[in-house]
Amino acid sequence: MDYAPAAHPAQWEAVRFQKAMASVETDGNTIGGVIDDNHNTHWSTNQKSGHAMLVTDKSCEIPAGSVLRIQMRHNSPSRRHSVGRFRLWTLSVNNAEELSKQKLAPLPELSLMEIPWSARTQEQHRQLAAYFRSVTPLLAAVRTEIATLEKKFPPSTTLVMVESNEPRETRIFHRGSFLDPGDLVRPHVPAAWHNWPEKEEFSRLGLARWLMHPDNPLVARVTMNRIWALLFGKGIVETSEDFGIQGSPPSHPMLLDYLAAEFVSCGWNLQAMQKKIVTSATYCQSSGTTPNRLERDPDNRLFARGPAFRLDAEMIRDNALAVSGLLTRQLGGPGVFPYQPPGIYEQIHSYATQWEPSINGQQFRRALYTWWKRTAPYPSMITFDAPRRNICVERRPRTNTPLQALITLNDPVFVQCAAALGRRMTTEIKGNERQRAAYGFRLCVARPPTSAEVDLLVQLYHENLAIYQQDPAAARIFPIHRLSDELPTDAAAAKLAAWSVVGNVLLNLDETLTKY
Amino acid sequence: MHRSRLLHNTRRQFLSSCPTGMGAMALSSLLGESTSAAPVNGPAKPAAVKNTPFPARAKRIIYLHMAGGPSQLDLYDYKPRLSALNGQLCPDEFYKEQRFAFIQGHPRLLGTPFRFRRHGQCGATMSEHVPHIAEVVDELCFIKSMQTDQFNHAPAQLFMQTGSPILGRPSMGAWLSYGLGTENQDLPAFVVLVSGKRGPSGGTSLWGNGFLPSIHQGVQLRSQGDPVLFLSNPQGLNRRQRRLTIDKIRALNEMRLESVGNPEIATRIKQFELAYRMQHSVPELMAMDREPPHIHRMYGTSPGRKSYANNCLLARRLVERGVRFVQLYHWGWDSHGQDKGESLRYSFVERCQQTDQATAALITDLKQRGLLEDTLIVWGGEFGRTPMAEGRSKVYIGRDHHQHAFTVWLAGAGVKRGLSYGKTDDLGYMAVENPVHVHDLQATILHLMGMDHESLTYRYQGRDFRLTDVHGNVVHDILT
Repeated sequence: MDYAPAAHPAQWEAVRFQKAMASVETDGNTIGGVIDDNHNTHWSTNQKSGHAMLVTDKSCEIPAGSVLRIQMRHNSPSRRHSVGRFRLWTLSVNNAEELSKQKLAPLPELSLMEIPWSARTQEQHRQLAAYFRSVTPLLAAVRTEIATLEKKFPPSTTLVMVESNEPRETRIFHRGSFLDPGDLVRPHVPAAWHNWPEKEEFSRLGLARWLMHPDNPLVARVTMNRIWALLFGKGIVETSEDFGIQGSPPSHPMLLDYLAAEFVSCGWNLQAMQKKIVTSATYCQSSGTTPNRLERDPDNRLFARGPAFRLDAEMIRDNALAVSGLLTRQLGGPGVFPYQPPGIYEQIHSYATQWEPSINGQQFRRALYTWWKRTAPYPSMITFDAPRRNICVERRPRTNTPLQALITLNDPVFVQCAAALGRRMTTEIKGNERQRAAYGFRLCVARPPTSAEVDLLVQLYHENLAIYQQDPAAARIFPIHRLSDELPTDAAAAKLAAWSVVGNVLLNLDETLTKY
Repeated sequence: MHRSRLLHNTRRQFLSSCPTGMGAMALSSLLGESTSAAPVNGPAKPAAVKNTPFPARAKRIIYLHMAGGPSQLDLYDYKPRLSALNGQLCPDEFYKEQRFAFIQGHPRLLGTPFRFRRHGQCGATMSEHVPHIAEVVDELCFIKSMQTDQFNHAPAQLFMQTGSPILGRPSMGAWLSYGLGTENQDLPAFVVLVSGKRGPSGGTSLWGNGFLPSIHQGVQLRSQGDPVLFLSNPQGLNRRQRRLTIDKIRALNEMRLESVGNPEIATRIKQFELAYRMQHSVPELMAMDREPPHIHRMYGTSPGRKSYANNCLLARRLVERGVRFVQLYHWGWDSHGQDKGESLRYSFVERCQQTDQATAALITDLKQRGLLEDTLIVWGGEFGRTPMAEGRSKVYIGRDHHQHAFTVWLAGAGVKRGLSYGKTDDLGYMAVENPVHVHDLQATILHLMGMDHESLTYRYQGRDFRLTDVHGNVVHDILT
């Protein structure tokens, strides 16, 4: 581009540009290619409509009334890069510097802006507002935050199997031997259940549709029964893994059907159904009972009292970590190796991974992140009736054994929790010993203690404090919860250790280990 | 469950029967011998002693599992014809259409490299490498016609111990604990002792409880660290403090019991007392230095050393204390002959030396204490070895895994003494007379303990399971 001032129409002066912006460009062919001196660089909009703005250099002042001469060179080697239907316009502004910092609005939005505000449709308003939010400096901080969060939680993906075009031939194996194939079999569902939907293909999708078919009440019933079992310790059908003729009949068939029907009509909303159950009078009633009631219904099949059952293996651990404040609440990621006694892995007849205990808080992740090896599973969870994961287990037995007591009393994981809980009682409460003990109690069982309960805990504290004051060495080897650079005095260590012992007792209370 | 008895006591009576400090003992007598309060199904008192369907010949079992599969042909099943044909190609039917773990091509026959001699009044022919067992051979009942379905270690061990080659079924000891309860409430009903360089390849599933409640799982007394996991108090917390904490836990739990009346709390109080007692009874059990020197000489043990022999002596101490099922695993019988560590002339002989004296001593010791009458000892591997050599090495000799014939022996309660039951063919390849399948052995062991293998069932996921699946016949011919 060059110009000739009005006074000297034949005196053409070249115009230099300081900056170029485009509403659209491709990676290799940016608008910068238009204003540099290199003839091999170009601007491409990748076959889309777009516009560009070229800001003249500050040093180049074009007098008013000048004639502009614009020349466009088309140097692209690509045949597709031809220009069509282009328009040029010029404008003169004072704040070119400021303007050049702005992003160029894409054409669709630009054309929307030309429509008067009152004439825009709702959709056009929405579109413009969305564009505004995406560029306005007012929201820059929020946009950055969203981008960071999105990077942290990438969209979850679902693994989907693809049906093969030619289904594999499947045969019965005589006596289970793959060396002795028998009759050819095709997919179908047991005749005892509802019919296969007409015209539905025998595929995974067909199976899903068959399962969710209105004629099938089982999916909703089984699901509701499992939720009920999670909350009450046992299902309305006690054999929650077996609804067949060998399973136990439901104790409250109408209730089960009601829940199943509600579940379907609320759009299979698990959260809504759980809320409905936990706010029900049945769930909210006290777990307390009397010998008379116990005699009439020892297993609480009638749900005349609230649920009371020992926490599952994983929850025992998670609960201890949570109340002691040690729990690392990180989501996802690879499995971790919390402390386990040496020699467990050496048992395995293989050359597998060695158990290197995790550090830096990873050892305090929830139980479900624990590395699992079926031939040598994490011992404390097995003892609390966690399955070895050799076979699918829907319903666990719930035992009560001395080996479980040894775990919550002495397993270093639980002793660490006790120490951290002891620390919480000393640092998080400004008050007397009774208030500290009451705080720890409440953390573990979620109710304030009675005066008699506090008496016992404070007594325990003093008994142990006396022991540790006489034997400071013991207080120093007992795993008190030490802050990183702390070197407690003997007196402080004795107190901490005594509170740790109180924490040990609190983590072993029936009420801590049991869901009431 | 203790519930029925609890119901007959008012809460006031219940608590007044637990004077301070004596709570544990009083509770214990009040609650009977129950240890669990919420079984899914099955007997209401999972650990209480139960009556058996018919009289038990054996009250307890010591099962000596020789992991890896010891060669019957080099220990107990002497085959002169095999020695005569040593080095010749084996008959076609031995390898054609047969599957082996390692053997390929046309293998050659391998006669035993060891000397055999008759022993005892029964005249059993035995290898030179079990001289001590030979001295007690008149106590033994050999089954020389054992057969299994599996020829790889882990599945075969699982098959022998759980009745299924696939992980997930309860083990024999768990079934017995479930069916019989425990005689000693201070110790588990089912205890496992492992010796050798490695554990058995089947892993801890070999003594797992499968779908039975976890109280029935085998408890491994470990030779490293605490014999029972988490038995020791944390450092810096002494036994007196543990008593103080247990007392406080009990007092607080009693208050809770008073306010909610949940009978499970009474059970938990008892479990904490049991845990406390185990902290004393288990170290006492493990205190091998209390055994007199002549006993140590007899077993070839020394206190503090970890060995199969020590485990034999420990097994005796366990059955003396009423433990129902003691299982020993000793590693390293896998004599393929591909290197020194797995060969007949070296590692196999070494295993014999590690086990011979102590095994014999266990029989003698139980007998002199009058315990052999109602204790059953089982010795055996998960499968046998082939009469053919593997030929993987020019230097070492060895045999492949073999499922068609192997030897197991029983001794003690209810089995005929000095008997050899079943026969294999002249080359020791196939059990040809009175074959005894693994499920038959399991049925027989349950029978000796007073249990009917067809009625000892557990309903799980819609069907009744048993140790012997849908098989098994009691071998009545070997019973007294």
